[in-house]
Amino acid sequence: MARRLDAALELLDRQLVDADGRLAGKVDDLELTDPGDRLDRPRVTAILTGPAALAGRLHTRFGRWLRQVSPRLLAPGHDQPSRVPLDQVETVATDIRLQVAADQLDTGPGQARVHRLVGRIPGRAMRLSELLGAEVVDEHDHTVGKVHDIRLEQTEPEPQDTGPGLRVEGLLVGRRALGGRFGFGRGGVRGPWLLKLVFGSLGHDGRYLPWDRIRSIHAHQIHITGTADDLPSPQPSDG
Amino acid sequence: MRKLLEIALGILTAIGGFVDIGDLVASTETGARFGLGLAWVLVVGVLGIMIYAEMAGRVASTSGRAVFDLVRERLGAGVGLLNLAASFFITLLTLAAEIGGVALSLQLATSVNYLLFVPIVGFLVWLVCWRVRFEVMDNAVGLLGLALIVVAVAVWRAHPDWGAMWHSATHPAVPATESHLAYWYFAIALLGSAMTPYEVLFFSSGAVEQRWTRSDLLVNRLNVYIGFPLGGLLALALMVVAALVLEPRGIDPSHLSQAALPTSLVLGKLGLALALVGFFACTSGAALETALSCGYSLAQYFGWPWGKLLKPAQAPRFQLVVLASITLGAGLVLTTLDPIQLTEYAIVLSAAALPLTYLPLLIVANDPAYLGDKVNSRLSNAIASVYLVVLVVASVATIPLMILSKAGGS
Repeated sequence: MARRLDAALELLDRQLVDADGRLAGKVDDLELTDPGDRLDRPRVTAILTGPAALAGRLHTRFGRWLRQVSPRLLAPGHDQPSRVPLDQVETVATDIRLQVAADQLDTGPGQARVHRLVGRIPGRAMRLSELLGAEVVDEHDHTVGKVHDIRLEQTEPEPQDTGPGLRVEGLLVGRRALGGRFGFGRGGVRGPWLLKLVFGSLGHDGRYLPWDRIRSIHAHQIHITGTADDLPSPQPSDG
Repeated sequence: MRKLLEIALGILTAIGGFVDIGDLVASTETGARFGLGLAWVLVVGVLGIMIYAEMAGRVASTSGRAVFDLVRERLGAGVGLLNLAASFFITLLTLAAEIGGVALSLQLATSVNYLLFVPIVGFLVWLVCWRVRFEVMDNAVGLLGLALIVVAVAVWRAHPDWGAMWHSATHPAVPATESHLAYWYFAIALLGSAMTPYEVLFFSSGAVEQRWTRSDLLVNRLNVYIGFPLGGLLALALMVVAALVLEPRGIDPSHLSQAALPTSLVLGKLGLALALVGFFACTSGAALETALSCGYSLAQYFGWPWGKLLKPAQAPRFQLVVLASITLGAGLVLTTLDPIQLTEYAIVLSAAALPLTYLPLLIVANDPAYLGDKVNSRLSNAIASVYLVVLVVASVATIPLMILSKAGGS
């Protein structure tokens, strides 16, 4: 059984717990690898954690400060985020359990070499945060809205995988994202009536953009085939 | 039997740990200026903290997640960071106020200037955070704080006219000498003092530290539903003695000694001594709680290892934040800023920041992914929603009221 997950709501900002039960940082970003083939959807290949990953998501002065200062101040040698390959992930629930100990995480100067290596592999690695907030434009150049979440499908692990297989299914697009961010679109959250009323109505104009409708992704702009009107409304995730 | 003892201990420490410098200052000041005209706010505030603390304890027991974890999970990295900055700043101000409060109670007992005590108090607070086991710390200051019951005894021994007191509490009116603006400003301050965000932050982190599980849900309920209202009664007693003794004499308290004055007038030296022990215990308890809360909030936002269960070497960043916060807090008091005024600002700003903490908590308390079948009932959702509206209104009104009433100046 495949399980649908919304990355921003159900993966980002969650707690990482290592094999010994120690807290090991937050899911600060996700690494997506595009296989290069347009028909195949990108897979989540790693969880990124640490100040360098967090800084990439904060478009503020503090974010810039974190990017420049953190390598020297907080984590010498860590100018790249710590990278947890998805096959080292045990389970994904309200926290993310890892199969390795925190001090064995792939960090530090060795990390930079990995990044250079990954750079040569065909296909392109991008970060989830590059998609979040991107503007979606249809073929008539009309704005559909902004990406406020990424719908993932958790597949049965294939024989060669050890961790959960996570693949991008499509994008959740809307003008306003607040209600979605709070999880009111999700099955099971019955929520206080008042909050559902306030935040639920904010998320009503959302649309679901299947990955195969994407023509191109450039600098925070996503062009799609067809028009906004033939995009379906999103199904709730499975939480 | 062991379980029963544990429950009783939990309730007693909840009572003794309820009052902090914010309650001491706010209750005494409102009692002295408005009589029992603001007693209803205290009732509203205590009920509010009960609703949300129970939620925080329940979320922590069922999912092992403390409040600031939830703040970031629900609000995201950016808004969560703004929230962290606001909460951390307010908790730090409160920490400074509590350190000042401990030093002032020592000054009252020894007549040595409080500034001389500040570095010693800061050092001791750090030492306890560094060395002492969580349960020992929590129980010791909570039980010592029970000395404040002497204030309730003072109310009883003052032989007040109970009927008239009940009437003035249930028919609140603004005294002729006070403005409406000041009345509402102090109403918000009192609400902020009762519902200070660090209290739920600490309560939920404490539940995680003590490894509460689903089997502790009863302990959680009893602590909150019995301990908190009884603790709230102590805050009310402070207000009542101030209304009985200070208001008729026209004393506007601006020093901690005036919070102890009514008790010593009614009960003499022994009463004064016990009141001072109570002041010392509840401010030092709260100093520890706020110092740890500074570390909890930052560590939980970034996902670092935290807590006193771990050896300091296993949670170095957490311990570093605690140490730095104590140093900053003590430094702030050493600038000779008046600790009482510091307290007033801390509780008023707390009131402005209340929805930041309580909104994410309310959302998660409805999420079966975290709580399974222990999600909020319709009743607690209804009450919590009403409170959220009240908190948002209070939060929006705080700063304008502060400016218009010149911070409640008379």
